Amino acid sequence: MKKTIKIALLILLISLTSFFSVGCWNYREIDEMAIVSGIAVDKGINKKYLVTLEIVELTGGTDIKQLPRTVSTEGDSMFDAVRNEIAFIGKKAYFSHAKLVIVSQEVAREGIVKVIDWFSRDTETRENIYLLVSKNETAKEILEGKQITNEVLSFQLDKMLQNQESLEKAPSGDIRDFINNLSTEWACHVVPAISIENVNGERRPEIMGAAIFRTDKFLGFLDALDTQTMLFIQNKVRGGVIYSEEKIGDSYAILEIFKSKTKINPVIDVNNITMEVNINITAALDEVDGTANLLEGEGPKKLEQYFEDMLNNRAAKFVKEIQTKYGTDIFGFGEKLYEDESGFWKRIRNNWDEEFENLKVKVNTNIKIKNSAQLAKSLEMGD
Amino acid sequence: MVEKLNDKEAICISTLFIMGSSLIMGISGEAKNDAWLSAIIGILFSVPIILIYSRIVSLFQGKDLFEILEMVFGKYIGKFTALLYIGYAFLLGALVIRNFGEFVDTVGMPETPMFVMNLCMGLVCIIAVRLGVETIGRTCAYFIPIVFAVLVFIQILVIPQINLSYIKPMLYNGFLPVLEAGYFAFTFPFAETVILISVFFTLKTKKSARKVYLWGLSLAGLTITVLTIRNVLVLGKSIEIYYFPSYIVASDISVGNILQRLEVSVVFVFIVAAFVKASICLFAVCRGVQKLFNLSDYKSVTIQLGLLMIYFSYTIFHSIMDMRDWIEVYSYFAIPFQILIPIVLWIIAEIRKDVIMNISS
Repeated sequence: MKKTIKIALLILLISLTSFFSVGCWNYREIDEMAIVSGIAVDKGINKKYLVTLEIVELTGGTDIKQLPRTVSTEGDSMFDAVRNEIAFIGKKAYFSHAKLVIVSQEVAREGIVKVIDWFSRDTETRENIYLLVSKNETAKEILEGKQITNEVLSFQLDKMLQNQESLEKAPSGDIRDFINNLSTEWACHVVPAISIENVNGERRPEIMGAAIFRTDKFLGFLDALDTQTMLFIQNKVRGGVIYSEEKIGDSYAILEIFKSKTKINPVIDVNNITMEVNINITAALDEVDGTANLLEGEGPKKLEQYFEDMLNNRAAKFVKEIQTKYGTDIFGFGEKLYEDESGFWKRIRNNWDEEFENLKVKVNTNIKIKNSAQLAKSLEMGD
Repeated sequence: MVEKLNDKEAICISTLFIMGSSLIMGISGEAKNDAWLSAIIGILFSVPIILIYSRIVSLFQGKDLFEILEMVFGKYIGKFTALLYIGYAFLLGALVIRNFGEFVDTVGMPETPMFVMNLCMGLVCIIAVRLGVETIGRTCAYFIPIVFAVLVFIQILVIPQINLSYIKPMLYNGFLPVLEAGYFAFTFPFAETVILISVFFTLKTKKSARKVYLWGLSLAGLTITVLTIRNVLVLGKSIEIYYFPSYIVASDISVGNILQRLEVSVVFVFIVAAFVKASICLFAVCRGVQKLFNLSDYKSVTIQLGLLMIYFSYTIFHSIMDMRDWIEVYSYFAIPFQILIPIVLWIIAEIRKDVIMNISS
């Protein structure tokens, strides 16, 4: 008898717990969530911001399809705007899978901290999402562009950024990097630039070049070539191509970069600083745009010499341009001084901007062409 | 039945106790990218004080903290200091439960009331304390390989996110902030091991205490130092803006787009360590109340005190911002419990040990 009561009580207890203690306090079903893949931030018309979300909707059935669509809402802050989206689609947006934030120039000019604070602070958003600046008038139109693959546009853009290592025409970095840089005295950052181009009548987004920030304010754009030069100095190049500006012999030559390592060496002479930038590149000749035989005899040496001079000049010119035009240290020279010469850095950190403008920079490139891919000679043409 | 802990279990308890909430809160303070130096300084500071604790334990083998206090200080002062220590252990246990609640509330379930989390953690602690120290010891011995496996696993996976230049320059803001943060690390968590005196009456031999304390300190100290170095290398000097840096670091892991979102593993480690720490604190409180009021068994007050601790943990802070400010206050608040009383206790005990032993036997 006692045993039966015990068993009955146990069954009652188990069924009670299974009814009342399962699941989460605030559970959410997947079809109740609007999964956000990308975010675009523009200046609002009536309110401060116009936020466009790209939302992935999953359709059921045997083969699940991802249907992306965009929705724009206005709000007086990021969070306000994002939450206002409930008024349009009725589902709460879910941000853990968001890949990137695109910011319009206008918003970026006013200061971007107001935008990224929410991404860094909120628990659902992640800090390792990319930050981009739109070259077009609005950021919204980029998310409304057409993707090339079957993927959701933002996911495709994410891949474009991840695979920059064999293109190196745009910097890559997430919100975390931005925040890390923001608290420093040099406080300068570059983020990728994105634009939308008309290709065969379709509007396709393209990531090319970079946008410069001083503290959190947008200053201007760099084109693809300048971006590459900048990445060389920053020691961030992992691949990509260099093409000759002029004909060597009677053809252009194109190198594929295999390895690139840059060492910045500050030379301090009382109060004069010279930055020695040593770029070491291992590359291969991967294309010759003509029939000139570049590899005979002294050919490889000459080729290396040509590219070294070209990169030296390009870098020196670019550094000068940045010094006079923007006066901000996008190369990380300040960071180098802070890390290696912290005593000296403490003396000059308060007027680093002026110091940077008058900084002497010596670029010394060293290229090693290790092979010429599969061909030992250039293609030959009968006269 | 007399409970006995063997050395291995005792080492596991002290390791997990020290790791406790600092696993997830990190070594805080203004040390920025020198935080790892502060961790090492904290360990060095705590070596002498921990030797004193272990000496006290081995001098009075088989006696717990509250009995020792009464034997050394006499009836009235002894009871009074015992009361202080009960309060300290009670507060510490509530803080650990609160840390856990805040953590889940901040990173995981912001819409769930924090009391639910505190209650879940607290109830498990109550059950553990009612089952006795031996059970807690065996639980620790069982969990510690898993805890270390998870930590090493995360450590390896996070390597791609590491940026070695973040550690430079060392001592940019001078040595003082590092020293200060080192002192914070000393008070929280290393010198909190004073609570363990009330548990280690269960050790088998006189020699065990020193071994257990030193092993616990070095294992947990090494872990905390390595984790702090890792956090600095991944987060740079913005490490101080986060409430829970270790969690942020684990959320950064992304290996080939497959191994991602591993934060939960960190949560597991934290739950185990927080559970052990809170249980030990609750045990100390119960033991103290038993001795103070001459009860026959501490288990009769466990549930009441445990529930009180849960309620206290719920009301102790207004918000997580208060919790962060508290660390600074705590570092001064803890001085009498962690340094003054143990040192006085030790000195008197060394001088009068023959007299004390005669009286008590």
